[in-house]
Amino acid sequence: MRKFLLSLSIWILVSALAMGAGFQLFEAGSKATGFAGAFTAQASDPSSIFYNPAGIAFLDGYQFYLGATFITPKSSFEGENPYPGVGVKEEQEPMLFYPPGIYFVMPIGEKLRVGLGIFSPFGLATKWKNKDTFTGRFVSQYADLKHIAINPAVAYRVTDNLAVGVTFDYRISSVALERNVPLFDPFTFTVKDIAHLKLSSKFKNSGFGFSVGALWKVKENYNIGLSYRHKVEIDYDGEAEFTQISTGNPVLDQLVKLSIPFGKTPGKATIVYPGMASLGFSTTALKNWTFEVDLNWTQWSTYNKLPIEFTEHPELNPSEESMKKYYEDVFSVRAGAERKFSEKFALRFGYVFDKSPSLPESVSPMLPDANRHGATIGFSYDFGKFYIDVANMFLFFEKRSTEGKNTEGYNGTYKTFANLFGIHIGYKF
Amino acid sequence: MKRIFSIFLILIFSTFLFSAKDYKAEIKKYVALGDSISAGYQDGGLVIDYQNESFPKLISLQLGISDFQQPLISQPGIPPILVIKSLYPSIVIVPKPGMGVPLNLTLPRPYDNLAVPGANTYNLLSTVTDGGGMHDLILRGLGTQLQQCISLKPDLITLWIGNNDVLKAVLAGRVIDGVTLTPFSSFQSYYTQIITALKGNTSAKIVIANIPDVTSIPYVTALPIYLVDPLTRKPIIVGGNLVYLIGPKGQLSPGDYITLPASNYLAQGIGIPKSAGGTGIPLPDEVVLDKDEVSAIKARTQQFNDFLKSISTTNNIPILDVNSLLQKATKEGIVIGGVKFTTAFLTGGIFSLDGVHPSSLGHAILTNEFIKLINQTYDYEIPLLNLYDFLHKERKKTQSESFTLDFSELQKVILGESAKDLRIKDTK
Repeated sequence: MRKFLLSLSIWILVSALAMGAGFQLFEAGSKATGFAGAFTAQASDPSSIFYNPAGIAFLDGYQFYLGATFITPKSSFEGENPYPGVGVKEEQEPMLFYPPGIYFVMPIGEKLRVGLGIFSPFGLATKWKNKDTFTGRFVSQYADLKHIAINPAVAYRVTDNLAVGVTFDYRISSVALERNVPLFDPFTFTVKDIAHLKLSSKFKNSGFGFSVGALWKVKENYNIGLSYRHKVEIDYDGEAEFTQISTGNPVLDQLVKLSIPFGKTPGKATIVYPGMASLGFSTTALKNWTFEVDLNWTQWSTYNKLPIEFTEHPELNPSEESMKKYYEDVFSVRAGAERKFSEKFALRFGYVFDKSPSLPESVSPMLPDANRHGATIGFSYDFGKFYIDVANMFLFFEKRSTEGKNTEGYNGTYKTFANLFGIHIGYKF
Repeated sequence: MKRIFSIFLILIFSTFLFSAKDYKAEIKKYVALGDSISAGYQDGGLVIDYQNESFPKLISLQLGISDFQQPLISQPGIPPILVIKSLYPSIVIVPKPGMGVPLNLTLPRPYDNLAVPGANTYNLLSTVTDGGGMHDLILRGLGTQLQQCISLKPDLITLWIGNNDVLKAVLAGRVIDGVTLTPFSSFQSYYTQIITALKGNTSAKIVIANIPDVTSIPYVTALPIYLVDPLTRKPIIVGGNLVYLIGPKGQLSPGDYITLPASNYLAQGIGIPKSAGGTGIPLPDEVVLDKDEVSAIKARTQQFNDFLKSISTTNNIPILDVNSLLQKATKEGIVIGGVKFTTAFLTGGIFSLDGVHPSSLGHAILTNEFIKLINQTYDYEIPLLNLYDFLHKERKKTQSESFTLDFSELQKVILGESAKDLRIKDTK
């Protein structure tokens, strides 16, 4: 069993990916997802290492919790004038991602708990169909951000009703970005594709931060939770690979060959992942029911640029202006409820409104973000030592127009829907 | 009842507040006044293919106006347009053989695009004939640009004039106040008279545009003033210094410019120091703009633009800041669909082969800038022009036989870093 769990974890880790559109992921555990992520005040299973590390202080015994969320997004784009123009329709490739959640918690004495959590608080993948003719191919054809957080956690019960927790937040990540490189061809006075550029880094670049949380059981049936996760900067050390695309004109092709370092050359990128804070309130005052409402803040303003540097070819570095990202800090609201039907079986449902941090300037094929409304249903079943949490979130994205403001001059309206199916298994002993 | 009435009022009021006005009903007649840029002059000539992509024509299409008449000229244009003969072994850009003929000369009314290549502010106000030149071709003895415009009773006028009040100094390579450069007081007086006449005699909505700084056009910036190694694409350094070309006042230095026609002289070794293998003969004055000339032209342009800004404010006439647009294109580029367009010669995309006039894409960009300004000022929702075809549809065919594969020359010229062997027709 242990061997199986281990290989499963490795499998999940390696393929951990997530959906596009505002690349934060809040699906660290399926019980929490059943509440639409409103879990800061309950923090009642090992996934609290993500939601509120103070929560593990109230957990008993040794506990494993592991699973994944299977995300299937569907995105399309309709062009507006001036570019790419009315009538242009584009679609993303259907994709499946499964950010993992793997947790272990154990007691040390009466009041102290330690644990380890492995989860994916961020992730992104956008891949456009027909990449060679995709009208946004000079902006982004493919973007893939893998991101795993490894968090050793410690929590302490200060009193019977109050606990505090802290984690060391270690992140490992990789990034891959692909697009075509254009040239204005003086022979024909048209734009030609002259190269394909693939920027990628191995899954080894890292950064670290921390998180802290507090959980206060105000009265028997009322909890208040508060948590904060610090921003994390990751410097990506990778390579850029330029592959020449023939323009059909041998003279131009030869000129291009002289101007671009075809093959591989070192490349660097930096992303500052935002901090986040949550305040939650939960109650079990009504018999057989649990309710929770959370307010989350995400410090998206840290993602104000995506600097890319070609260390050996500084002449290819993008301009400051083109690396700017227009992102703002945002709040989201989450609310969820659970109805227990027996000691073993419970149903959950919830709703989240997640405001888009992206201004229209940065709504692009790489990250076509929008306000999101998520509706969830979920259940759990307790087999004794084992228990299972299952949740499904229907995530509706509002139609998002770039309002003619996209910094890459690629304007239109994006439509996205995503389904998120989560399953986690718990084991206590 | 009172309440119902006030709700009614609010409804009416909000209709006014929130719905854009119907541009199709309000703009049935559009007239363009101006110079070669408004005329759609491109690649050194006036020709039907480019006239049909002039920004006034494109604006008329976006307005849904079907009967927008222009003084169309058949291929190869008047004067015949330039074509790239080859980009290797040397860059040769030459006029097409032959001469175009007017196609719309018998139109029994004034053209809607009245812009005359070469016209300055004085011409727009006062010139009827120029002895068989562009004015006669377009005005056809029916009165000045201004008079003909008024007689058309337009609903919308674009007025973009003043470029030639400074550009003549650039084309001549000489600043002679009152000859190549219009004195400020004259410009002010002509322009005020034009605006007064248009406001007094038409009920048209007017949009004006300002004058680009000459150092943002490739005609002035394409050629460097020092020698460049064709192989490394880097300036040639001798004794730690750049090898500057020679102008009429001696060695050129930073701040001086040479214009595109200088390439004809450089190809013969003129302007290149003897020590660097040239003839040591200085470049003639008409292809050199020295610092003093540049700063005089810049200062005059600034003066004109300040005046245009103030006349726009006092008369409530929107002004398109083409000058800032081109500065932006020069410094950061204009990004469309992830493609960066600049004011670079040949590879920048915005300027045509003559280095002075916009390409079709340049006209398309101008069209959208005018439309945005008109929409914003007059509360219309005129649709923006789709630029897709302007990026992707082939507009030129290089008239070349076969190319040999040796590219150092092409490379350096495309990168705008050397002038040797670049022969271009003087676009005066």
